Amino acid sequence: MRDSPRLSTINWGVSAGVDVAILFAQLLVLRVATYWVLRIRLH
Amino acid sequence: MPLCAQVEVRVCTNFALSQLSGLGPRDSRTGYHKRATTRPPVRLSMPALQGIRVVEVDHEAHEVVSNRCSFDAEQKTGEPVFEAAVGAPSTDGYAMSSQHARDAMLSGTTPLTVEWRRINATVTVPDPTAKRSLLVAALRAPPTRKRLVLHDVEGRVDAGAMVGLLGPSGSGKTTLLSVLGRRSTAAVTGQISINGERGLSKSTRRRIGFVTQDDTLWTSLSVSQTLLFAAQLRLPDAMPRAAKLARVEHVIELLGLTHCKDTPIGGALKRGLSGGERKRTSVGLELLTNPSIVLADEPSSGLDSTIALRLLTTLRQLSIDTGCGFLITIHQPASRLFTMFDSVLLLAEGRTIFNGAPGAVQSYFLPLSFAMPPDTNPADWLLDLASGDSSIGGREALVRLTKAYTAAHPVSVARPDDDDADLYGTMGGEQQLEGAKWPTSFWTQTVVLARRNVAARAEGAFDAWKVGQVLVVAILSGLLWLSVGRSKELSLAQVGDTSALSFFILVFPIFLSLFGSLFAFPSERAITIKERMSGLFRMSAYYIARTASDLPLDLGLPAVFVVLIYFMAGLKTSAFLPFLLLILLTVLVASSLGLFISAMSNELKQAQAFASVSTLLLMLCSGFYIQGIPGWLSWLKWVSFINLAYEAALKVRSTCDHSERTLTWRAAPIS
Repeated sequence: MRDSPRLSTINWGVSAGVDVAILFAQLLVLRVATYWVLRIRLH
Repeated sequence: MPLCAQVEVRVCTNFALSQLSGLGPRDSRTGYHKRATTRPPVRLSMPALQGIRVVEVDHEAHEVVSNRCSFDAEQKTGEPVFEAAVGAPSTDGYAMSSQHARDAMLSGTTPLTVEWRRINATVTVPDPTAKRSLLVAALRAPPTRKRLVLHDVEGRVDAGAMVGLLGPSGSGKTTLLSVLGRRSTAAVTGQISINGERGLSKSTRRRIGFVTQDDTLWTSLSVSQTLLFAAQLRLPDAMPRAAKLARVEHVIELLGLTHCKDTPIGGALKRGLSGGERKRTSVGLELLTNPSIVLADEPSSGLDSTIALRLLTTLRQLSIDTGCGFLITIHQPASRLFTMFDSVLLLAEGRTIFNGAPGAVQSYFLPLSFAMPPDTNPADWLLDLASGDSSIGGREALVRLTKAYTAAHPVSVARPDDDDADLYGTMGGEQQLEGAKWPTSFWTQTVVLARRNVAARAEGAFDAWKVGQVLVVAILSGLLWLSVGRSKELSLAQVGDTSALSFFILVFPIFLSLFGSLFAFPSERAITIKERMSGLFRMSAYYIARTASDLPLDLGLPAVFVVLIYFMAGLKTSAFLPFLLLILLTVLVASSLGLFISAMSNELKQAQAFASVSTLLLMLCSGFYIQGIPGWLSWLKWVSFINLAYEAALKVRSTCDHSERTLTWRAAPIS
C-alpha cells in the first residue's frame, strides 16, 4: 500500500493540506490576538 | 420645533450675525470682527444642524455669503433680529467661494465657551525614596506614590478668545490641557462646562481640537495628502468630496502652507517641512472641522522667535476670524507674543497664581509688593515668579502669591466626588451636543485608512534599497542553486541542496516580513493613539484597513523573490503555484507574528529582542537543523509555523512530481 505511487501522492497531499490548515489557524489566532492587544493598548 | 425641512434664516443685520457667531460687528477699518460682549451668543444645538441654511447679508460689503450652519431655532423665537422662512434647499450647502473662505469658516464654527472649575488631578509617579534589594527590584514593579499635579485650578476660554497658559516645567500646563481635551490618564475631579452646561461628551470632544507638543504626522505624506485624509476621516460622509477638497485648500491657504503643500512632512531621517510648517500642519488638522476650541500644547516649542511669532499671529487671526477659542500652553513667550493673548493663566506647582489680561499683570502684582522692573518682558518676569526665583523672593513668595490668589478668587464650587463621570458629565454632555458617535461610517473609515496606509507605507515598502536587497539576494542565491532541480538523477548531496533551497526560499521572506512589521507599527502608534483619542475611527475599521492594505505591501517583494529563485533553480513548474501560495501564506503568518510582538512591546528594542529569540527558536524547531527533537519539546513543531511551512513545501513539491518524491522523502523531517 505504502509503495503505491498514487496513494502516496494522495497521502502527501492530505498531509500538506493539514499543515496548511494549521498555518491558517495560526494566522487567524495571531490576527485576532493582535486586534485585542491593539484594542486594549490604543484605547 | 420640527426641523425636517430646509429652513432659510436671513440674518438681517451685522449685529444679528454677531450674536449668531459669537463675534461682534466687523470693523470697517481693520476688517476684524469685534468681540460681542453685550449679549450672550445664541445657544447652539446639533439637532438643528440638518437642513438649516444661513444666509449672511453683509451690509457693509453688500455681499452675500452662504454656508451651512447650526443653531437652535427655538432660541430665536421672539428675537426681532431674525426672520425665518421656508426657502429652497441649497444645492450644495457647503459650497464656499475662495474670496469668502474666512467668512465661510466663521459661519461654520459653533461658538463654545469652555469653563473649568476646581480641577484637581493626581498622577501616580515612581517613588525614588523607596529602598529595595536588587532581587526585589528585578522581580517587582517599582513602588509608586500619588502626586497632586493640579490643585483647584479654574479658568475659561470664550469663543474667539486666545488664552495663554504659562508656567515653568512641571507646573501642570500639559496636564490641564489633557484634562480639558479628555485625554488625561490622571485621576481628575472637578467640573467642566460647555456654554454653561456641565459635561464634555465624546461628541463635544470632536468640537475641541487638540494640537500635541510633538507633531504626530505621517512623515512620507505631503501636506495636502495629510490634510485630505484627515478631512475624509473627520468631516461627515454627507459632505461632498469636492467640498472636502475645498476645505483642505482653505486651511492650507489660511495657514500659509500653499508653497509647500506637495512637500512630504519629513522627519528625523527624512528631509521635509521646516519645524514651523510642520506645526502649522498639525494645527491645520484640527482646523479642518471648524473646531470651537483648540487646545495647543507648546505650539511654539522648538521654533525660533520669528517663526513662533508668525504661528501665533496666524492663530490670533484665526481666533478673530472664525470665533474659535484657543488655549495655548507656552513655555517662554517673547513680549510680542505675550501681548497677543486675551488673558493669561499662570500656574506654579499646579496652583494658579495669576489669571487675567496681560495688561493687568502690573496692577495685580504691585499691591502684593511685587513690582515688575521696567523694560522687562512680563512673561519672563511671571515665569521667574512662578519658578520661585530667589531674586524675586523665592519659594516663600510663591506660597504668598498662591494664598493671595486663593483669597481673592475663592473656589466657585463644592469639592465634587472623585469620579471622572462627574467631571465629564457623560450623559449630560451627550444631551447637550448630540451627534453620531463617529464622524463617518465604518466603510468610509476602512477605505480611507486603507488608502492612507498604502500611501504612507508604499514608499518605505518598495524603496530602492529594499527592492535592491531582495533582487540581489534572489539572483545570488539563484546562481548558487542554478538548475539544481533540472537533474534527472539526484545525488545525495543534490537532495540535500534541494531541501536547503526549499528552506532558504521560505526563511528569507519570513525574516523580511516579520522584521518589516516589527518596525512598521511603532512609527504609527503615536498617530493612531491621537486619532483614536479624537474619536475618528473604530478600532475594528483601523485593523481591517491595516490588514487588507498590508497584503500587497507585505506580499509583493516575497513573490518577486520566489519567482526569481524558483525558476533560476529550475524547480518543477507544476509545483510552482501551490509552492508560491504556501510561501505567501507563511509570509502572512510571519508578518502577523511581527505585528503581534510589536503591539505587545513598549519599545522597539524590546520587540526586536523578542522577535529574534522567538524566530530563532521556531527556526531551530523547523526540522531542517535538528530532526530528533527531544520528546518533551516535540510540541514545538506544531507551534513552529516555519516547521509546518517547510514540511508542507516539501510535500507540495513531492506531490507534484513523483520522481522527486522518493528522494525528498529521505531528506524530509520525520514527524
